[in-house]
Amino acid sequence: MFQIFKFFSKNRILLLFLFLEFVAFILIFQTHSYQQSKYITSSHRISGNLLKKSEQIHSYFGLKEKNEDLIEENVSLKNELEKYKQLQVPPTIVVQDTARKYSYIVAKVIKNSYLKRDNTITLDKGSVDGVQPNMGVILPNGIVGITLNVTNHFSTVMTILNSKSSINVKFKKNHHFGSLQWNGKSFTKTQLWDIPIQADIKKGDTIVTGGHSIFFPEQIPVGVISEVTYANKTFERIDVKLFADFSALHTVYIVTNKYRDEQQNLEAQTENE
Amino acid sequence: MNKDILKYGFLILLLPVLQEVIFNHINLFGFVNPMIYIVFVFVFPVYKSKTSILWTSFLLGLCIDMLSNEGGIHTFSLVFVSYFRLFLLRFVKGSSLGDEDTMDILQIGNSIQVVWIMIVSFIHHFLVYLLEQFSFHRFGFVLLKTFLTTILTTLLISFALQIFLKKKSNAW
Repeated sequence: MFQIFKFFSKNRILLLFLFLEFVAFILIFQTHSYQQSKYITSSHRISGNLLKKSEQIHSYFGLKEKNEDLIEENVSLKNELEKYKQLQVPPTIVVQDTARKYSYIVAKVIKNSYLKRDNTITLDKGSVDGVQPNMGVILPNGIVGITLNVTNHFSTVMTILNSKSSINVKFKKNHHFGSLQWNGKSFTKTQLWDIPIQADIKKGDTIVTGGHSIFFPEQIPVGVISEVTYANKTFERIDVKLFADFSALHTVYIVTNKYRDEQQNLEAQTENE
Repeated sequence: MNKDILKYGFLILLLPVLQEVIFNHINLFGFVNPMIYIVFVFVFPVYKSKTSILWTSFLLGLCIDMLSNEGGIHTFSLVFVSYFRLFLLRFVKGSSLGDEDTMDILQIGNSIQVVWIMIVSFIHHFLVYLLEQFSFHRFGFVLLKTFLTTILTTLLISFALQIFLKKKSNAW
């Protein structure tokens, strides 16, 4: 017994070192599981507020670019509005409730990462503003990812530049669909998988979100095919150049699907039967 | 004693803020950001017990990880280098450190100090980037990133120590 005490007191520092490293390693492992650690995360209240302040300072340096982006978005929205004005809509048509299936929450990106293998971003909106885990996040010109952890005023988002992200997409010109998964190389390109060989695809085809996703509305632009390689009469790799520029995210839209829970419950019920 | 707790407690709060607000936005060549918070390992005095540096660097690492949303990557790497810092200093100096209870790390001579900072930064950055990648996939890129970041971190920390701390001999 005495020998054991002697051993512990002699190697006290080494044991403490190993213990602390062990705790740190467990924390690392936790972030690599889908449900992230709830404690060491940037959506925490204190760190979230600090990141928000930091973002406010840095946002002054990019005001010009942001203004230009907004003007561009404004112009395209105005064009779209003109198109609708030209349509002769008979006044008797009743707009059905299902047409307003999706609504949007505007949020600011207060922490961005895009150079790692598993990238996440932090937004300045939380459950008070109506954000919940597993909601889609989009840009005017592309998709960003899915919300992961939500606190009262902040939320973290797993972007499509993440090894755990898999998004249902399809071709704009026909209805072949596949899934989007990132191989971790370049933050401007992601990869398309599960496309049947008979699908007629070529460079320059536009990819949009598919209708199988409960996170995103259909037909949101994602990117264009930039490279296709073949092996053994199947597609080996299909690169998709993203429309969204992940190195300059500032304002994003969180998609709330009014019927998400209903659809999920129904699907779960059907699977159980 | 109480003065020291205030001093290093303040440093543990200040370094993550500086790191996040200023140094994580440098993006040299698009991906190189110096990790200046490891200056803690260089200024923490030797006469303190080894237990205290392990616990304080563990706390500092947690603060950094909370801001960068990376689990325990920075905690793991920082505790690792803080455990081996004196071993590495002896290795660089090539002889024993003399009386460790009274020595001042900031007075060990410029060239030795810079080499020491460089080696400690290299080990720390390598661990951070390797754990971030979580595999040996793209090992070359991890090494390149480690090299470039080490150079930047060493430059910044050496300058900072030279300007702020060299004159006051036993200040920190």
